[in-house]
Amino acid sequence: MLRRTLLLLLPLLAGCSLPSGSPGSPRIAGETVDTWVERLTPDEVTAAWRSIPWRPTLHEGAGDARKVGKPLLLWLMNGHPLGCT
Amino acid sequence: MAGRASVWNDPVVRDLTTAFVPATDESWRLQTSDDRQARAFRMIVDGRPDPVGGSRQGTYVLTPGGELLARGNSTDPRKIEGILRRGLEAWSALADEARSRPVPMDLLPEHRFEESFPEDGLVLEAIIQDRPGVEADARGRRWNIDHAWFSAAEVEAWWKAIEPTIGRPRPVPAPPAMLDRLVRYHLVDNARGQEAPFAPEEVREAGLTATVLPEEDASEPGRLRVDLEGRTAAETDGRWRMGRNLWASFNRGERPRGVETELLGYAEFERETGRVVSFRLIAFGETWGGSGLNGRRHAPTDAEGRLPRSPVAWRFVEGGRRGVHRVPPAFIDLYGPPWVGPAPSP
Repeated sequence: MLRRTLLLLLPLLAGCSLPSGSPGSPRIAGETVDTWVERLTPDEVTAAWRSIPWRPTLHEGAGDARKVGKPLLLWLMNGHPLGCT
Repeated sequence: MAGRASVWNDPVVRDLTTAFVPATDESWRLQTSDDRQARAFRMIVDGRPDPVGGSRQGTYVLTPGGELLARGNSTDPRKIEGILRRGLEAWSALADEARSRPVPMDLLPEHRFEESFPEDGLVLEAIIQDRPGVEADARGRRWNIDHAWFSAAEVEAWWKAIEPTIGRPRPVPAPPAMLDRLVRYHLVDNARGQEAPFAPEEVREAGLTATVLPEEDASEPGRLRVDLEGRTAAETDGRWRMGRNLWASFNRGERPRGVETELLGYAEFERETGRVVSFRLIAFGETWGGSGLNGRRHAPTDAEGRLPRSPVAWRFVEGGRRGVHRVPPAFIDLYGPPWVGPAPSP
């Protein structure tokens, strides 16, 4: 049932070039789980904001700002900005 | 959520951040909690320690000693650029003494869920998004992140269930506590914004099995690989069934919602220790409805009153263990087991 359902997703992959996975990997619509992991992971351009060296808490940021003598830039959201928001 | 990309992917803004120590945090706790750090934050931005309504989301420039130099909230990178530049100008105008004041003790928290990070357990990074191939809506393609935490004892219980099937493979059900956490708190439709979790009685189906593979299928000697397969379904009529907590307001209006998924993946254990060293799980799902901020609550129903279904996918992989990777799961306060620590008062 699972594989039949997932085969229905095959058209969504049309035109895409997918790398092969390691032997023995479970497969979805003919491709490996690893390939799907890659597909569902935002690329570096889309997720460039994640490469900013954010400190994950207010107090860690304040502590580091004092150490290096820089102002603190604090970005707040409902739901942690680097988690589920 | 939109500001993540629109503001912080902007090259000018990104370049400006190098003049600061950049930090992030969760604003709802800071504006409503009775924690010492939250009260100190409100003194800085509101001039009084009492919990505040509205929103304190946004970008702030502060001295390490807690003096507010600039603030604002926008998804427009030019406006945030302006805030950062104003903050830098104010910083430049400060005397050395004002710049170098120590971090006030009050800015240290009394309790943070980061302290419950499961050092020897399993930490997963979850990314959820509208499934590739699905046309983005007017707000563009959205994706979200969360972390899923499992303690060392929970992983050990999973390993103890799997270990006897080495050489005699058969599907081994995941421990109920792990599966419950996955279904109720992590297979939630957060792709376009926050959504509420599910109560135990709202879970219609929950199954995840691990089947041991031959020794040669492991990526290296000393490891054991298992295939993961399962199905889940959770649905609510929108009534809140999880008591008084920070999430109760999500079901205002009793809007129905649900999630169905099929799971496929694999994990690798270190045979000597039983620790998970590699984890990959894909959840292909359909979601419908929404109570709050997930962008689907206004979807029109069909002639039979059914909500449209949206194809969504989650990917769970083992996550990092330092810095930003230690951000707690969104619903950590609802997880429940003692290793998580106390939940703050709502």
